[in-house]
Amino acid sequence: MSKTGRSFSLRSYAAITTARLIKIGLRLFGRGGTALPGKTALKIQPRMLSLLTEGRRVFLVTGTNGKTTTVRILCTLLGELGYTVITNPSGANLDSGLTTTLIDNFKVLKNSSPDTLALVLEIDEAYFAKLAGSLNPSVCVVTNFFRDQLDRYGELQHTRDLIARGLDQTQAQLVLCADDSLCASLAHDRQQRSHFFGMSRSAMKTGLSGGVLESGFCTFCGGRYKYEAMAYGHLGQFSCPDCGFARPQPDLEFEASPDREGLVQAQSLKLSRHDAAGRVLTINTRLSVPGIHNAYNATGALLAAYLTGASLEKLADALPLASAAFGRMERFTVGSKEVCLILVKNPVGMDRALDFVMQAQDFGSGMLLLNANDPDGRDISWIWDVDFETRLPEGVLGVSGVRRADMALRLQYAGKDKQDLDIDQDYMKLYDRCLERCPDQKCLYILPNYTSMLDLRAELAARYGLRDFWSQD
Amino acid sequence: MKLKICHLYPDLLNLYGDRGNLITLERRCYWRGIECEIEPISIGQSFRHDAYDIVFMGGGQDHEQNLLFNDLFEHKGPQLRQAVESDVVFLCVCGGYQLLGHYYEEQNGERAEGLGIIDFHTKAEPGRIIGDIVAESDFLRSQQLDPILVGFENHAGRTWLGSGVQPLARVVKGGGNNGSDSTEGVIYRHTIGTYMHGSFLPKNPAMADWMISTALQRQGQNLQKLPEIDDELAENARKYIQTCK
Repeated sequence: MSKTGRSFSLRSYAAITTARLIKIGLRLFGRGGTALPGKTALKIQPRMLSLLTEGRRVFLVTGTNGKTTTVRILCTLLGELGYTVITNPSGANLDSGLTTTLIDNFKVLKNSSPDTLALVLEIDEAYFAKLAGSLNPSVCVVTNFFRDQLDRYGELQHTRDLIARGLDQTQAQLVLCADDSLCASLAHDRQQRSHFFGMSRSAMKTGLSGGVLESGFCTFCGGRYKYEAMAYGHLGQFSCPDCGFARPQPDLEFEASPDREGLVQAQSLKLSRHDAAGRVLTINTRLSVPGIHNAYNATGALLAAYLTGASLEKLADALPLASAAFGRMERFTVGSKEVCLILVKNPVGMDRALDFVMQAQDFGSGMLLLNANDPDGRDISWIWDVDFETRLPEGVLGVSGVRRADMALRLQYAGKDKQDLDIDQDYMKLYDRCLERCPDQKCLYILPNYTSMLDLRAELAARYGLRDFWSQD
Repeated sequence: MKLKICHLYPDLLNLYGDRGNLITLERRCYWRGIECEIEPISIGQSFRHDAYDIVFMGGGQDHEQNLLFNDLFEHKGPQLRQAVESDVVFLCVCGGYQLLGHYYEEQNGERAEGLGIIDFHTKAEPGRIIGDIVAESDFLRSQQLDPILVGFENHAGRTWLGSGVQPLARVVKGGGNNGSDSTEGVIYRHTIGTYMHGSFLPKNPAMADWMISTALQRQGQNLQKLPEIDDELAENARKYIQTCK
């Protein structure tokens, strides 16, 4: 670690000052700009990111799904360990947004010692190769590889290779999902610094999974993977009969069960830590965010925090304090009803969200929002990969978003009658009707994709006084 | 009435919501009381040219697509050719479409042989053709069907049809086969190749119904016209793609 009182060049200070002035300007107009200030600073000082992260304890989180939740849980854990934590708001995960974040926190960055400060940064998977080297990470978490926005990123194998390239520009310890073959394959040639998280083999389902098979074939030799057991999607106990590549034994694994108090928002986790000598340490804890996919995110975050040298007991104690990330299983109360926002970006995410909604005891009504702006991916074909056929909530469903016609068509083919679809361009009017339709003491579940979530949430924030997303810590 | 549909390599060629095409065929049969059976056929399973009324082959990621070449050429190629030549209804999308031609040439000049069933070839060029696509089909018009086809395309390969080969449609918006000669897809006998996904058949019900009725007629069913289906929702989705920027 280098000294903390490093001196910045005049150019760097000029970059920082300009960025801050732009930020103040944007705020005056009520905008939460996360990209422009950073973009400008990078023009003035292209090495900004490297300069601001040098000698720091940096955690990078990338992968296709669960980045934001993983970051959020990791921030909570590190905060409980006594670190001052700097993180980027969800969505500000390209170089410009990262720069803005770091400049916003320049004072903290400059005045804290590396021993008490942690940077937890979410990195867009397509930019990881470009950014990882300049961010000086000590730990990199790769959550998983699910099909997501293929029109932007090309294919999964390519995304995996991009991340591999990024990892090779760092000396960081790697936290990888053992149950995801593409993710686990990143340990190849990086064995010494790889650590795995996953679901306990005994908790997985045996027999065939009907889910989307993202990568049924071996990354290394093309053999068809055999699955002894599955978690969900393509996550499971895989092995390649041709070359022997197989799911590694996770260093930290979980077994999830519904919370004993019967709260839909929580689950119990049994964590098992396997050490090199083959000993197993088991601890029980709770996670206030539901869903198996979030149990994965939590276990990945725990393993990353564990690498700081913290005790697993202490981390398990801190885990229940973590809450859902913005727009991801976010709940609030409206009169005698509840509203729950679940961000969905791709088929597996949608399958998980629908599973959750179908099981929720308090389901009152539902609403789906589909946009196709650049951050969403302009290709909405993925809705045909969603297994709506077996996961169709009952009753009238609200449909909005720019591509509402496509979503409505998908739901028709999945078995919804036209009269059970309430389609409206005006998503707030639709929201009012869906809330009206929701019985008292029940919950309106809203499943938006990325930009439709931002639009809707901004309106809801204004109406109910929810916090603006750029001010969320 | 019953239709047998073969889904070729569903575990390898399953990109971009291609299964929506099968969902559409199955539902549109079901809604009309036509029985429909979908059989997945992948590596190591035999394909017989006379076993199916409709065959579907989608697109895949390069990694997955490379895995099926051997199986396709050594075990299925001749039977597939026979299926095409005997007027089986066959829909191929994107990567599946490219496999029907003579070859696919990478940017570095490396060539992967195709089945050569239809006279065309494909060359990769820098820059993918990505976006919404609208095309007008003289073929569909000649069948007294709605000639407008809509979808989403995403491909690096540029496909060039041999002279005398009929394109499926002419591009109104988007890139189509190669981004320069305004052709989109191919039609040969009852085989259709296209770059449109998104998915293709849900948003082009006329095309789906042409496949169903052609397959039934080929069985010798005496069929005047398929019963109507309320396609208002599909029409809305079609309208959006035709009018958006």
